[in-house]
Amino acid sequence: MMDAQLHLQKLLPIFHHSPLAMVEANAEGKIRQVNPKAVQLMMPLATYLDLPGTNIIDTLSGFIPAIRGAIADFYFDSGLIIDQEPYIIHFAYGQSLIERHFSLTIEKITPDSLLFFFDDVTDFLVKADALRHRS
Amino acid sequence: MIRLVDFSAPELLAWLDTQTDEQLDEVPFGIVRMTLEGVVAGYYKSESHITGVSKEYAIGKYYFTQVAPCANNMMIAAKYAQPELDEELDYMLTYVCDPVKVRLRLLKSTFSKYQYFLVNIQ
Repeated sequence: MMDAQLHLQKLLPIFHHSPLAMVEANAEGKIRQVNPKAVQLMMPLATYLDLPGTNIIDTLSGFIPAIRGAIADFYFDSGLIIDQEPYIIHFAYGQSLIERHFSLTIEKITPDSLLFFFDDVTDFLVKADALRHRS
Repeated sequence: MIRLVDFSAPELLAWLDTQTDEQLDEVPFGIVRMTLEGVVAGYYKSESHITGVSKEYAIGKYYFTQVAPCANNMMIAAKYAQPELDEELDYMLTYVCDPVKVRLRLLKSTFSKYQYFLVNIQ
């Protein structure tokens, strides 16, 4: 029987190389675990808001204000708070105005553990649109 | 013995270009030396300590897509498209799954055949 610790170690590359952004945070949004994809997507947003990027709720609610209320109003100890909801995010970077489409899932694992899964689906939507026009 | 070098020192890129792999292993902040195409040519001890990525894993890979996808965005990777680059900024890297607050310095110049990604723990 494989040691549980070894099983966990084998999961790490999946977490690390996942094309989906994943964050585990406490109830206030302070990030405890994060994968590289999440850092890649989150840091431009945090910088735009002049935030350090250490709190996922502060960062995301700067663009999607509704998520703070959704988390606060979710009174169960665990469960899906937001399930693959699409959001449009606008921000400026240098001289450029940027519009990106995000998909966001938030799940409460325990009263003090929240999981955030998100992705920038802008390119996917463009490709899907092109596919629709071709067929 | 290598002389102590400051993370924010001017002319740092020219100094880095003259250092051997052994000398760069002694520098107290993280250093990634890349070709101008973004392939890792040198990955030094302090960088491995900060990120948990080994030199053996990193060398020969495209840095921003294969080694540090967390920096593959408009804030970091896209800036290396400029011919000249010397910028410091606060950022976050990951040590396995833990977030690590860092100060980055991005260096590139037309006189060098390398570009550099420097990391200082905050």
